[in-house]
Amino acid sequence: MSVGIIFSTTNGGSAITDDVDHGSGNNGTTLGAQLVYVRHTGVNSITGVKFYIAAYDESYSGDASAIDDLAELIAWGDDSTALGFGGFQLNMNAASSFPDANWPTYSSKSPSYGAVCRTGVGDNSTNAITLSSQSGATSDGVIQAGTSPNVRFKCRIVIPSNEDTTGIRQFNQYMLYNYTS
Amino acid sequence: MGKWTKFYANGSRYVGTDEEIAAQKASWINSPSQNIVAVELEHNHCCLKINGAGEYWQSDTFQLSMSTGKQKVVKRRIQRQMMNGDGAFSTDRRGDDLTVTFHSSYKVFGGDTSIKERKEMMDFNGVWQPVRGEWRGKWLVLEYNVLENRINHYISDVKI
Repeated sequence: MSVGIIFSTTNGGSAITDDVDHGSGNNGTTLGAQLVYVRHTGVNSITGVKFYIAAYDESYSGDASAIDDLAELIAWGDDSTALGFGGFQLNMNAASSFPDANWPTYSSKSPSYGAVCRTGVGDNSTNAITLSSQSGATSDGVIQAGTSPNVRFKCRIVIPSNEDTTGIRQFNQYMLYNYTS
Repeated sequence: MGKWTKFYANGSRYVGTDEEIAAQKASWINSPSQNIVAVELEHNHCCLKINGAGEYWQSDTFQLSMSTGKQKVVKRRIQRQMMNGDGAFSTDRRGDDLTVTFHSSYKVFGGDTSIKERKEMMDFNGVWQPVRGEWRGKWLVLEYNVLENRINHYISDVKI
């Protein structure tokens, strides 16, 4: 019924089997972007590929709660000030090697081929963010079959400058897709 | 778990169970798509069916946790493209089952020959509805939301 989805750090490489660790830093830090490749084992393309974030639903080991961590991440993305903006961000412009212009900012939260998860954008399945064709996908939201389709995106966490609470945060990133056998 | 079934004009049928599909022993795309007169989808206690010769499609939506790799099906759907020859459709909702039937002509209901033009997409009281001109070429979608245990129906500009 479903197909196997494989995330890796190289095209066609070994599957990522652990949580992605975005690292740690002080307030005002942009943590290192994570390059993620995605492919699948279906014989046909998968379509409607979208991403959104949600509360961590495994054994929580952060310093607050899964619900609070998600709410905070969304709030960072909602903030429209230079000091308060941050959050979980996507850059899907692989075709141009992920230029800075495609990362969101507090004044441009949905640049071409990029986005920050915030209220109404990537915060639930209804508002999921469509995978851009610039990622190497056949077209927006469509990943072709194959062992090395070279579809990839970058994601990162930006810690707001005015954040004053230390601690580990955890969240989940979901992918939605459609498949016809 | 569930299955879908294609019904053909010659009385034959093609069934794709979830188990057969997982084992790559059944396929919607690789099974005959000509001369389909009806399609049915069953999942758990829900049964969706569309009657009427035409072009059909079936797809499922899955949700994958990137942290754990765990997947689950969230929506299952069948869909039929509305064509120039479609005059009207009727719906039959009984519990968790929904059937939509297309006909090539309007039907006189209860002696009332007036046709009610509705802005809503469907009416579930069994009254025949005309296929609006702007719907032709679009897809009628019957969808079962597995997570919410809810049946949805809508018209999509594109095949999903």
